[in-house]
Amino acid sequence: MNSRSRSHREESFERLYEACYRDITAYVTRRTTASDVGDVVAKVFAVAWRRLERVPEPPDDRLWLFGVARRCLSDSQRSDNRQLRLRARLAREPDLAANTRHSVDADPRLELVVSAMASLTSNDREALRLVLWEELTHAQAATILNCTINAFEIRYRRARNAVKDLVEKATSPSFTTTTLINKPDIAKGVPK
Amino acid sequence: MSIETLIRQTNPLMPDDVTSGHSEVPRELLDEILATPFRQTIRPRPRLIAAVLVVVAIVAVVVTQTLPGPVNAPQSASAAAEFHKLSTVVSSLPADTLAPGQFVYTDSVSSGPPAHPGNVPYNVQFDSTRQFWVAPDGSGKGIFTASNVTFPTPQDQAEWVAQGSPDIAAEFTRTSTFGPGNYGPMQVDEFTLPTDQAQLSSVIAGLVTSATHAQPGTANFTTEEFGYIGQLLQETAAPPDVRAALLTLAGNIPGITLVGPTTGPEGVVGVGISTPLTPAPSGGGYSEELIFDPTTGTLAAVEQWLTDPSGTKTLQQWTVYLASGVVDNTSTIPLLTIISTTTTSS
Repeated sequence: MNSRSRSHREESFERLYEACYRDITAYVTRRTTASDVGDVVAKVFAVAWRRLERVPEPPDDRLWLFGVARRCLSDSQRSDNRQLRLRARLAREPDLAANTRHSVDADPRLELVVSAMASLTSNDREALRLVLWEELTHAQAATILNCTINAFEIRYRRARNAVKDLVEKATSPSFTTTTLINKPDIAKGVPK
Repeated sequence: MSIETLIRQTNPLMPDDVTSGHSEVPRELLDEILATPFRQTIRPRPRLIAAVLVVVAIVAVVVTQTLPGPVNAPQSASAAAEFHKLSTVVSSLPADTLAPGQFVYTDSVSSGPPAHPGNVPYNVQFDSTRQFWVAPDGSGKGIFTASNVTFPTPQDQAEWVAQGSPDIAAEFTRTSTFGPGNYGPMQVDEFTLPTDQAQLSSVIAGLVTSATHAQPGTANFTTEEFGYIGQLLQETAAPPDVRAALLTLAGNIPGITLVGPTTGPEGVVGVGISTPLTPAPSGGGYSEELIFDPTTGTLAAVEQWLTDPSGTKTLQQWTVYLASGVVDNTSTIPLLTIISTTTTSS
């Protein structure tokens, strides 16, 4: 390895790091606990450093990093053996609760939205997050989720309608917030 | 207010918060990563690239003319068709012609759930790098190196300290050698495996039956068969017709599904094919996914997934195959390249 190629590699990585660090940190922060963010982000960029030749050119490099981050988050959750014990509880308690910054006082429906999203399958929930939180296009989100745009559209529409229906039902006179939070599985039965 | 607006408002970190943090990109992490030696990838041999390109072009024409398109086909047919493509690619490759004393070198890294080192009262987790040198007669050497040692809980770490902080990496680092015909996870002589599908199926079924309690015809048995075929496609210098036969056999396993283009651990990219779910006692189940490089038919990664009763999938274990190449002895690794600009050797 000569110094010129080493320097070129370092420069390429530094550009990638500086261009994408904030987006990747935000992506990870939205999906895990504050104490794990640093480790996961470091792991994502360590993978990128080792696999720099696999990283596509901008703007696809950011999507590639999102894909790696998704894997690292899954890996991180796996390595935490408390995860399995907590899973049942997490299914009842929205995983967003710990790092959601909204004020329920501002709009009481937000708590319902959080609960409704927590009741979705992980892939459906991620479809909503990628578009509405990360502000990605449907084509970009489909790339990250390794599916076709058509499949993504179906997934997104299903998730969006499930949340909408649950919130509408929960705000109807015969449905209470307690009902929604205690029965997250009802989301799976919401066709649209 | 639309439902989209409401969902946006549940974002725990708003886009404005992200863009306003321009000065907060930490230099420390960048410096730390840049100071880390990176693993180099092996440059494919030009002759092989040319051969593969020609074969892929021919296969593309033949396959599109003879196989049903995957669009309207059932998933199992798509998976079988994908294996057929991979098998065709592999069977068309020239066999590695190794001179006497040469070896095929393969480098992989695995990560799995926490393990007990011996009978100590703590759990530990680590990545395992595997380096294999395999001669055409199935003899060779393997080096297993543990790294990235972590403890699942502070209690585990405290127990480790109480035990005198033994060197975990050293404990899980070892070298093994194997004689002719003894290479492989199951000590199967891959070089003499039958290529006839019925005979090969019988061999694989026999391996599953002798090593597991899985009953033929069950999802568990299917998963085991699929996993064994995957292991036989790991680091190997087995002839292309043997590897092609294994791929064809995998394509005939009932219930397998085509995952399609996928990104695995370490950023590996390929085509994923999965077993059906093996039910777990507590609900949900396990599945195994093999990721192949579609241009060479090479196994790029293996993943084991746990699906919980709610349908959420969690990656339990994985192995990524990083590189392979031909070397002259078991003390060297192949010629290396850095982003296809500079070639060097270790």
